[in-house]
Amino acid sequence: MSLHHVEAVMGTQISIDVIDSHDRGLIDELVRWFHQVDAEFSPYKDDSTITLIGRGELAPTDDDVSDDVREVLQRCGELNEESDGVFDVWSLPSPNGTRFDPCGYVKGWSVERAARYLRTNGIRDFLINAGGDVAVEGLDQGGQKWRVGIRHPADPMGLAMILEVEGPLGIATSGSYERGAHIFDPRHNSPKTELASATVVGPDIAEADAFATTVYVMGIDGLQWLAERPGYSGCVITHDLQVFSNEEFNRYIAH
Amino acid sequence: MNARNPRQQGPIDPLMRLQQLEDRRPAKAAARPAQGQPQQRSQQLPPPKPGTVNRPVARPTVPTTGTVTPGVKPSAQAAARIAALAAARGAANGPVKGGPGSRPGAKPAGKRAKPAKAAKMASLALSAVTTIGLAGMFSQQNGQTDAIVLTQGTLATTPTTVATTADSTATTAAASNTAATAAPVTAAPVTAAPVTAAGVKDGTYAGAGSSNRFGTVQVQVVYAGGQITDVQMLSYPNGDSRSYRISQIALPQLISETISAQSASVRTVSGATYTSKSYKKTLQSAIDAAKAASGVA
Repeated sequence: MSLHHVEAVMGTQISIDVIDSHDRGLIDELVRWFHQVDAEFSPYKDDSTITLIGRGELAPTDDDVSDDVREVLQRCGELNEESDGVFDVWSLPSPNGTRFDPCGYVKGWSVERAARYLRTNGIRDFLINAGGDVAVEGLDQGGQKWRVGIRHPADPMGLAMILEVEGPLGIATSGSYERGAHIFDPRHNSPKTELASATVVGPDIAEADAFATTVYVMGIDGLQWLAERPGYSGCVITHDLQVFSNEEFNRYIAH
Repeated sequence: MNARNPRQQGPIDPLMRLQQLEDRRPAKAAARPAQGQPQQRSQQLPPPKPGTVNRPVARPTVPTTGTVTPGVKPSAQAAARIAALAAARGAANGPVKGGPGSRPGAKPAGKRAKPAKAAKMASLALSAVTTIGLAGMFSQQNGQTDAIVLTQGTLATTPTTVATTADSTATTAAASNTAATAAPVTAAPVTAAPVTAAGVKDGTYAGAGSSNRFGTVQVQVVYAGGQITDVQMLSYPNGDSRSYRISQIALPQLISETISAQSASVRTVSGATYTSKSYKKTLQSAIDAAKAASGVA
């Protein structure tokens, strides 16, 4: 009575666990969804909407631009305002050669959509992990809280801490250790290196993903910014392995 | 395995899947999830971003609050920290009696829980009493805006109450720590400080160190004009120290060791986005492989 699936898509691996169903049609639908997101949003693809918009070959207001893309652009614009310009998908060195790369929001957003799809279909206990961005719902097998490891910044096989969480909850981590300095600080047009990683938890994984990126760029100060987002909290790990966290975050940490 | 779906035959080996999927083109026209479509936030586009490709990057910097050491030059600060660290090392072996970290019984007015109770609520085994002392002080420094993040039970009441609480515990610490803080981080005199309206003497106060699995943490607080002006984190055993503005952030901790993946029994791992290529080097791939091997799928 459970499902497990791993899909290579969107430049990463997406792991899906469904506890309270064995309907593979759900997995099929999610896989289809993530590939659709990839085709439409990938900055690596020459013909994706995002690449076309980045090149100026397609206007965001164009009829060919889907509601999904508009929704993402809308929220990215709002996040830009809310972060005083730190979260800025228009000032990033994009793989397609432009300066437009909304990946910092799209991955989490696509997971949030997938989670809503499962919820709407009556699934109460599941987990989706898209390249490190995690959405959990309900509880794990046996009614246990989900145990979610936070990767150790210096050890891909090790953990810095373990969170015990009950869904719905999103857990997103940003860091430079995986894709190099791909997170840029638009304020200085340079890679930000104060932190090894930043983790944000909160009800919506799309928001958590964007917030994690923002906090990572802001540095330790980002935790104060994050504290102003109701429902969201986080921790950051410096290069010398000091951990700073919001008080609210600490209740998730397993002992 | 479910025969209805040929793609699912055989155990799901992430690496095998990766191979299989390498040449696969995503179905561009595939339907999105048929149900669960969220309401669009708005059909309106964000404000026009003129010249998106070459957008100016000059932006206001992030507003920060509660900077603790305005005007203190880094060099002086560093020197002070070294001195404070050395002093605190001495104190670490014998935690200061009566310091902010050793008197959990004081109870401010209002709904605030007793520090001892709040300590139990703190989910990390920090220096609980120190945490409580700081939590109270936080609210004094930054007023009501901090209430949203402070540990439950230590929310702000009134600054005066908080300060009084701190005073009763900190004053003693000041006496025992005066010699140890000969190089205060701020210009505030350590001794002979006037009692402010808020009731806290200017000075530097050290909390007792406490150990948890991240390491040992000790904190030192500087008061000036009845306000906290600086907090230094004195972290052991590696001798590192760090000063940091305090509002809304819990005490830093050190990751003294990596949690062994074998003993962790986690269901999944949150980390910076890995690529399909680097995925096989991650703990997540091992977890997925184990699930596949055990026939979970």
